[in-house]
Amino acid sequence: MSRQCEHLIDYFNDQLSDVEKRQFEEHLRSCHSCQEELKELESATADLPFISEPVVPNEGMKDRVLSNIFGSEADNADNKKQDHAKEPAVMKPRKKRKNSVFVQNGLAAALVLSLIGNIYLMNQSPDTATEQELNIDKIINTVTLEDTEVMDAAGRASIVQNGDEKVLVVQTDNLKEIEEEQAYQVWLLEGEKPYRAGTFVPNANGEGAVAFSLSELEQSNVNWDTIAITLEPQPDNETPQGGDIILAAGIEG
Amino acid sequence: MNEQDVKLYQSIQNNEQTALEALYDKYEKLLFSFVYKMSHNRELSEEVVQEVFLKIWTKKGMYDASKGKFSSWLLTVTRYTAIDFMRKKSEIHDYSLEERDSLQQSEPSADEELEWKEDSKMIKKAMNHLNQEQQKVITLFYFKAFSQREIAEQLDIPLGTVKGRIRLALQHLKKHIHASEQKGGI
Repeated sequence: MSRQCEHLIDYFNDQLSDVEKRQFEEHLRSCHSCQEELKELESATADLPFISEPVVPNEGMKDRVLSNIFGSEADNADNKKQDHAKEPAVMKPRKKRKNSVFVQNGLAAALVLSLIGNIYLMNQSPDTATEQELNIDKIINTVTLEDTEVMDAAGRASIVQNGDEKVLVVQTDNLKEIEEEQAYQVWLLEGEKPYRAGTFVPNANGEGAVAFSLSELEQSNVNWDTIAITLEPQPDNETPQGGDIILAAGIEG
Repeated sequence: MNEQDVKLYQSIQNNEQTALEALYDKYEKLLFSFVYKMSHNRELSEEVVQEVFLKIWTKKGMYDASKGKFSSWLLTVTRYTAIDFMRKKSEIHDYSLEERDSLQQSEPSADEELEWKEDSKMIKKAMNHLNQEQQKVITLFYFKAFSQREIAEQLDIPLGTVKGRIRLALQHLKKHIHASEQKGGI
């Protein structure tokens, strides 16, 4: 038995310095009795952990540990899940969303300026218009638009089933008077990608409204999750160019 | 049991998060309780459990069948990770037997703890056959992972006799575990 054999316990308990550890491992390769004893220690202690008294793990530990392991990937997935779960019920405004986040995204030129009043039923042939009179419109989803710090406006958005098509109806109050070229613009956002969903100018009482057919967006499989209204310098901007979001809410089709 | 663990481990090799989560669910409490027994520190216990699962997730291929039963391997990895963390925090010397005895216990409840409970019952019974000093040897050596010198100091025995005491205590334990197994203890 060499002096190295005395290091077995400290080796098992990982109490050796790096140098000592390397030396012992070298020794272990050729020392039959240390190999046997090490095996014996391992097998004799294998069941000992089960003697531990059950202790309830820390509160919230699983979530912390797994999200630390899976990293931001899991965080994002989690947030998305929560967003979806929350949205129909809570409809939180996304106050922090600024124009800049969606200016960067090019908006398909398919959507053209739509002025108040002429959008409603715009895709309908006379036939369906007749038929539509027999239909009873139903509200599928309605949300209160929440104002951001920009102005003290109020509003409401509804998605209405009108025959075969869905129409977005937006009504707003207490809007600030606009200057000559300006217009209020409704956007539906899919993530951060904006789609135009109607333009309007308020009347003298600061009231404004839009009705917008959702057929085209639905056909393009756009899954919007947010509605926002901005004040645009020109009524025909393809992407938001103006100031801040005036009103916003989560909304699903 | 082992077959199921190995299957989960294989799925983890394919980056299946649900497999890691399933493995985590299965072992969270056992590993946490084990490290808590070693360290008496909840924060450290959580860090160790996280580190163990992080290793499993990021260092693929650590385990293979040549390393024996998966659960034994997992417990060994956990023990060494705990020793490492305890050393870094220098909390290894905070130990006292009184502290261990006054440890708050919680009842095992769920089905998955059944096996642990049975194992635990059997080992505790075997431990009770050991005298006080032998029990203390096992605690200082295995759970506290003290160095040979520290064990000698704690027990007030010559350094050269530490290994012999440890082996003797473990042999006694093994004998009693075998005896209770043969009696149909589980």
